[in-house]
Amino acid sequence: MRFLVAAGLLLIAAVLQSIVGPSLPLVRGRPDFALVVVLAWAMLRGSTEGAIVGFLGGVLVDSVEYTPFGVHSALLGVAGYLVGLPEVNVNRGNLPYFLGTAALATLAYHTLMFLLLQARGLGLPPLFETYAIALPAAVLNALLLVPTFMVCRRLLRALSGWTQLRL
Amino acid sequence: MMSEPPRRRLPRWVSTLVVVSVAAVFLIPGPGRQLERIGATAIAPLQMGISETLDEASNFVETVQRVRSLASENADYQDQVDQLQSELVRMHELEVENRDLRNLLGMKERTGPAALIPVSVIARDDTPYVQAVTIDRGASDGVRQDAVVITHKGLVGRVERVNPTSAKVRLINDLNSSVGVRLQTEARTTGVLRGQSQGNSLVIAFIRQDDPVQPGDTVLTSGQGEVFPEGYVVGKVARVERKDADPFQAAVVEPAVAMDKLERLYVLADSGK
Repeated sequence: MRFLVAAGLLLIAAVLQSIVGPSLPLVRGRPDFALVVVLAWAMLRGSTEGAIVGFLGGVLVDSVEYTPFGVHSALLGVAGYLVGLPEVNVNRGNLPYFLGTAALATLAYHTLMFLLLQARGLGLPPLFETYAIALPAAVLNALLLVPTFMVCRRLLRALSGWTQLRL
Repeated sequence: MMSEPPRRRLPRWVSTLVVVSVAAVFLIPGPGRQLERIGATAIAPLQMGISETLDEASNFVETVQRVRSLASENADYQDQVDQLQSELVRMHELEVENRDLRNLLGMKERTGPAALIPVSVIARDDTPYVQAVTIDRGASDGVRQDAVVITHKGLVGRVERVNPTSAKVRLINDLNSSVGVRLQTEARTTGVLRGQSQGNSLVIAFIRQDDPVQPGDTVLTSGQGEVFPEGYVVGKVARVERKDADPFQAAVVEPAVAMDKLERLYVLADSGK
């Protein structure tokens, strides 16, 4: 059941990423909605579920985006695994750590995406253009992680009776 | 504060399975493509629904904002319709004259325009790496791989991935896109047009220094490369970049179609494979 809920959230995130994201005014970057859901889930449920949810989210994003299939699956799977590694919820009560994790994960995600696409032989712009997108995305993702984390936590509580996890 | 209940850990083999699945999807194109088809087919209706709702909302807001100017715009449009009707009559005369001249020269008349499949953009991939859109028609509607996509203003791109109910179109301003083009000038200069990572502009590189290129020259598809048929408008030369020490010059081209505002497109039904 948990994975169905995660799949629903990821489906919404993937569709939003393909429709709403690129049209955001003012900033050149866009939030990586699916990455944010994966980060929130991994922080709440640990590395194994983070990896599974990341992989699932990646498949959905790969289905709607144009980059070679598998790139997002691999990267989101790894992101979910790594961010969920701390066995205790170190993000609780530590907002800078919480936001910093989201920002760093976003920068790592975009850097690895660049390297993977380059490894697959795609013509790419200079790396600094990646960061022109990645830096605003890091800020947006960090901000978006707060409500997403709360929604995921509420859903998980409703599902399994969790009552004590606090940010 | 009560302690957090212990997480129920999933067995280690689940992590291993995930890692193996990731590797399989990433390394083997076959299963990845199948998964992509399934995912795209499942998501396309949702994308269409949300995209249409957003368009409707945007249209409504725009209409409300423009309600005052609609009357004067309407009058302007009426004038334009009158002008275009007279233009149409003149074009018809030219067509008849053209046909007669072709007959005189014994030239084989080109076949008429291909059948068009009207499509709508339901999603957009707008990153430094990729410039692409997803359209709401797929293999079941007759859209084929490599089919050419246009608007009434000019060339947009080509279909590169076809799913049953949707397809992905690589735009001509994508960094990895290339189109054989020629300039509509006396010299009929040819070249290869490529997208750029930033902005809406395109570049024809490696034009010989002695080929005459001027800002404002119209750029058309040349038919070379066998993907894009000859004669479709691509854009106009915006500026020419020329250095004396360089044996070649480059032309920066402004596309005829605003690539960041694509909504209604047409797929050439007879193109592609």
